[in-house]
Amino acid sequence: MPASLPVRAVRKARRIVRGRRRHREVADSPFRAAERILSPRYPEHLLTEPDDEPETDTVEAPPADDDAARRSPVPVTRAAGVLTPGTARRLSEVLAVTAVSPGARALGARVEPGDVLVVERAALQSGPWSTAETSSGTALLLEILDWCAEAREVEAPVVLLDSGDPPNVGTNLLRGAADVVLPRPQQVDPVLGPVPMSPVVSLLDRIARAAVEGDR
Amino acid sequence: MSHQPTTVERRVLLYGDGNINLIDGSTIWLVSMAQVLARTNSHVTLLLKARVVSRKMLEPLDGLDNVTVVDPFEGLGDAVPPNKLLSIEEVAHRIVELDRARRFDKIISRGFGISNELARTHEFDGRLWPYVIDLPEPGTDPTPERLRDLEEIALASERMLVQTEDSRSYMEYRVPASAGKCVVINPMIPDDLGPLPGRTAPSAGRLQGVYAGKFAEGWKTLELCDVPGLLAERGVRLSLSMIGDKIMHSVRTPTWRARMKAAVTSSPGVQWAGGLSRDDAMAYSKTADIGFSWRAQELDSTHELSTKVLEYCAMGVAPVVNRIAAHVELLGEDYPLFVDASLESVLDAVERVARDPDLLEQARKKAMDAIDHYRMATTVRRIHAALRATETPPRVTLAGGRPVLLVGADLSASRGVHTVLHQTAGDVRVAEWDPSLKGQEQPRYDELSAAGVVVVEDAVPYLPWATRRKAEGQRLVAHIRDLRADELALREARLEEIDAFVFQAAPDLAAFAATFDVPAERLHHAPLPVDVAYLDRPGLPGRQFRVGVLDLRPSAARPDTAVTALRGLLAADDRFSLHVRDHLPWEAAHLPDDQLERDYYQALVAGLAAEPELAARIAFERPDADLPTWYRKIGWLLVPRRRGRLDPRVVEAQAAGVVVRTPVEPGAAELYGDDAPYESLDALVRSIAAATDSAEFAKLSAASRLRAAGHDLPAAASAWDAALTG
Repeated sequence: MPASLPVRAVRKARRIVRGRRRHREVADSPFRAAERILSPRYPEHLLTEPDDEPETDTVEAPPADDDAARRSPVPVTRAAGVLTPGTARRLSEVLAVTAVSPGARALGARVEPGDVLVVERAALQSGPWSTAETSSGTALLLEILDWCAEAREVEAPVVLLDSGDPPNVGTNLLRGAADVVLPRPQQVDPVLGPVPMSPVVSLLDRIARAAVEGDR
Repeated sequence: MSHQPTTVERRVLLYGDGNINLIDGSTIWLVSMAQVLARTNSHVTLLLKARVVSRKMLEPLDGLDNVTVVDPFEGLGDAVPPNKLLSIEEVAHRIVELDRARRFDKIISRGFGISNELARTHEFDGRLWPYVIDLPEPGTDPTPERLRDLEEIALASERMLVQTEDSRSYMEYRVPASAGKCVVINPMIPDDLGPLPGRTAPSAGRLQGVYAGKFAEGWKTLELCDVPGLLAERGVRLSLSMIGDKIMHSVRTPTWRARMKAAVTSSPGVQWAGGLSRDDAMAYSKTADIGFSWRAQELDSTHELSTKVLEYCAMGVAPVVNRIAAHVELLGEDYPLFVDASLESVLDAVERVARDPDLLEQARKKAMDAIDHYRMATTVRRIHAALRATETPPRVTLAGGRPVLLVGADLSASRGVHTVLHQTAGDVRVAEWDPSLKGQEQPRYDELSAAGVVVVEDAVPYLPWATRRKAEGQRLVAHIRDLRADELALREARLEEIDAFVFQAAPDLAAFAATFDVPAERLHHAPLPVDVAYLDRPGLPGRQFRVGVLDLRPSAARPDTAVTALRGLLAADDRFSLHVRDHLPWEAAHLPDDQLERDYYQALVAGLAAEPELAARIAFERPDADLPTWYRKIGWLLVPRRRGRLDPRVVEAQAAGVVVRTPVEPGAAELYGDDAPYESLDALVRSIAAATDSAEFAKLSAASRLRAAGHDLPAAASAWDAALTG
């Protein structure tokens, strides 16, 4: 629940108002005046901070040992993400799982340090996240990208589980937002044999492989 | 092809921001659009950006008497170098000049820049039909200035052109003011484009392939040159013709252009035909068995379809295309020439069809069967209908010739009424006043007095005020959408000053007639007007498993009962999900003051937290402007008790094929149809769970659309004709 409007939101609103005023120095025609009343307006979340205005919000300096902290392995304690019920069940056998649905952030769900954020493409084809990869579900796609950004902030890895579904307009954005896309080819050392993966990644890889190969 | 319309229905200015001397997508579109418009009995003025150096692209327009091509530098002779292009500002200036001389009925402009510039002039409001293809993509954050410009374009536009249904969905999300205005035109291919007559099937192991277009890194043309050689190693002989002379630079790989040039001239199995005219390129392409439109993975994210792919299909040249959703929808799941970004996938697919002539024949047939929808004749029909829908002459003439004024405190749901009034009387002004009217009485009175007919939307709060200020010779009409909400204000108003009462609900009319002493000839019933054609869009697969709710407030709805219903539905089938489309109260700047309401939300959230598996099947989605798009995925809409008041959003949902369910109450069946009311939550769950079969659901969905047809714009026309004229 919001306490107060952040500085950037206020600045953004002022700028929009200024912009509208500038634009409306030419009086509206009766047509445009009517359209201005009858047409839907931009919702607040679609309005963004302008590029050319320097950000002045206070940013905390990163700790000196930030790089070191990033390099040190953090054990994964929970999988949070956009999951099919089947995958959520399988994952819950090896670690704690929180399947998020659209709007879950408003209900208090968060990605936390130690989480792995899993986005399963198969979960976007039906159920609460259906259409998120398509032009009909842009708001849902942006919500998933927000989850990925939040994961990055807390240094939680983002894993995309691919599927055999044909790529859609949002697929590349999801790939780009992920640290790892699974399944990936098994890496094999000529002498030492297959490179092992952690049990969690191994399980995720198996799930993704089945989704890619099973649907083809 | 010569086409002489008997009468010119309209004058259209057409402009596309491309150089007519070059063969590229924008100029092909521009010439196709001129042809299409010419076939809608329009006179087309085609303004060019560059002086004509080569007439090749313009040849399809030869002989069309109703197309005038305007040289941008007319009268300037050799003073202008041949490669000079008009700037955006100069184009806008030229269009203003041309308009002063010819007065166009429609202005069609392709591209954000020119459309923005034309909107800024304010000269073309209500006549502008922009085709804005360069919207900010979902992953980018457009500046407020950019969004404001897009909004102004939409506000100035009578209609907006979009390429596909997907493009419309994205436009309505990105530019809310475009909702209700987008016309899908589709990519166009010539009606007479077909396969080479008498062609014979290739022998097994041999294929003729073609690539036509620009050579660019993302278009995989460099890798494509390796394909014949690598296939030869597999024992397949592919002869590949490469058509085009535009070799692009690559910012990412500086050596790419030189390598491309070398590859296209020296790769085994590759013949470089160079640049050809469009007709020659088509003739050349027709001789091929397969056509390449292979792309890098980063080009998989598109709302649009490639015209080149459609042309291959029409010519019976089976396209080799990336397996993306748009292509699967076009060619079917089992099309054999789908590839991904890897070279291996291309080699495998081509080898498969090369070794199996029947499979190649199947691919060609699928391709040819896919493109009827994209023939120019279909686009002509679609655009002609869209043009004519905006051109209905006023049905009535108002005394004194003064405009109609539609006034109310909240007109956000009044677009339908405005459209009907416009179709009835032509000139309609709109005023949304501050309900307090404090310090604004005189300007509001002036606005009121200027109108010939004043239509007051809802009696609250202006009707009593307007009845005491009615001007001489003026006609005052009260539009009552909800009698219960308006009853007090009606008692305060001077009813004898109101010339007509228009009721949205027939029971309200009857109740009013029984209570108030008003002559029956002044009472009219006009159903809620909805643009049914605009909302009638194809539903998305699996919609029968998605249940929607439009309200979260317990005073308006009962989301807890929807959650209970979902629990029951999931017990029957785990594919069900619930989609709540409303602002979340705990996200709002101010929480509701009502303590009971706060408790309700807390209980709802706590309940969901206790059942995470159930909560994971519930989507809380923001109420953006793209409701028509949202309805495509929703199968069922749970509507709370409305006590007789019709919610326009519900009718719109029905027009989109959503099946409505509501608790049984008097009048519910009249509002939403005989099947809509349910007597218990168990009955609701049973009725939804019984229609998971697609065919069964399709029947219910069709009935829903039929129900909404009773609210189509013409259904309200006669009542409004009578109300405005007496």
